[in-house]
Amino acid sequence: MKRVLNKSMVLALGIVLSFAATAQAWSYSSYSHGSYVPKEGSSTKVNYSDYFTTNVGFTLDRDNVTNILDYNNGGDNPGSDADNKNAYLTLDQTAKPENTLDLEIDASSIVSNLPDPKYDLEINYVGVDCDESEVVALGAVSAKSYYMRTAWNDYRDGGSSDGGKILSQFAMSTKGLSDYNNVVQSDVVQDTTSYGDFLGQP
Amino acid sequence: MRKQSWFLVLGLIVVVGSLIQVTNTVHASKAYNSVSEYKSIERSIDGIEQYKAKVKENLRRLEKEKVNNIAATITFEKPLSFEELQTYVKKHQITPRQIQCRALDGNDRLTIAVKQQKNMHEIVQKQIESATFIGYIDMYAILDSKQIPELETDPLTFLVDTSGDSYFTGSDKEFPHALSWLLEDLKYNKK
Repeated sequence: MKRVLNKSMVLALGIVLSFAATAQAWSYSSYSHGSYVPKEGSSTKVNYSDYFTTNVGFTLDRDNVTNILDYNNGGDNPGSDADNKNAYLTLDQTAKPENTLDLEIDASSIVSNLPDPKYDLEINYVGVDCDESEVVALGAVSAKSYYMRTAWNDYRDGGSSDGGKILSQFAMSTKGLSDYNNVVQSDVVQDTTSYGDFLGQP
Repeated sequence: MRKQSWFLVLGLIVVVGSLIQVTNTVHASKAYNSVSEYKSIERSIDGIEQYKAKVKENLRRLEKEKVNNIAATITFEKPLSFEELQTYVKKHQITPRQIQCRALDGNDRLTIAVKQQKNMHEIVQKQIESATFIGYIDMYAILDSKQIPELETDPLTFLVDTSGDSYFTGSDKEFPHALSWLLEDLKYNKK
């Protein structure tokens, strides 16, 4: 009986851990980090049995929308980097692993309600695992709530440097952040989500 | 004398190298940007038809030159079920790089990108949560020119777009942005 109870407890704990979610938020009082950067947003990380998701939710207000549409049309954009270039709202989720030679996670999917999104799952380190997921919204945005969610294959097995951080940051780009010369990126990271050394660990 | 010979050989290498460089970029007409290329398509049925005709001309060039390892974006004729997608991929022996699908959440159009992997459809279903899955709409893939004729005539193919391949751009391969969203906006009747 005792043994059965223990197994049940372990199973229940496993289920709780596998769907454990962590959430955090950012809030700015001004547009000093970019007229296109939403003042408020949040991130949620949810663990499943062999992958986890990082969801960045945000609301674009009227000022954001006016400025983003202005960037879309090119012409005299704020600063000088994007002048006379058609730039589009870009959100990037980038893993910064403790061990860049063995990533242990792999961006495998992106979902968003942004209009006409161009997605990229990119490899910046060695191997076949994608460390970066990116969306560029090519359609006209509205004043409403949007989200971008990345699913990461989870290969962590408890190695001392299997963990890392996932940074989410907004930018305006002409075709994505791979073309660094054509990008205006927020001066701060909007969200940093940590992941531990073990499978399913927050 | 020996020193002069070495200079001669070095000079020859530089000249040959330059010629190779010119040969590699001979097909490039201008710097390619998948976004500006997509945005330059006229937002009308005629605009789509004109773009389609230009893309098909590119395919004829690739076939003629027997080019391999081509970066291509395939837009499907209609949203495909997972089973239809699997059959399509197997039939044409394609290894997709990235596949996009559509779901609807009230008035919101959701777009999902996913890498080809074992639990791909399961991840897609989890990603869309309670939204309604519509189907797989386009994909990025690397093709050989011999695959193009059958792909083009497949009734599930709307367009095989290779405009971003290095054969045409003279630079790194880039996958063109698929036409799916635009076709939906225009309520384009593909048939």
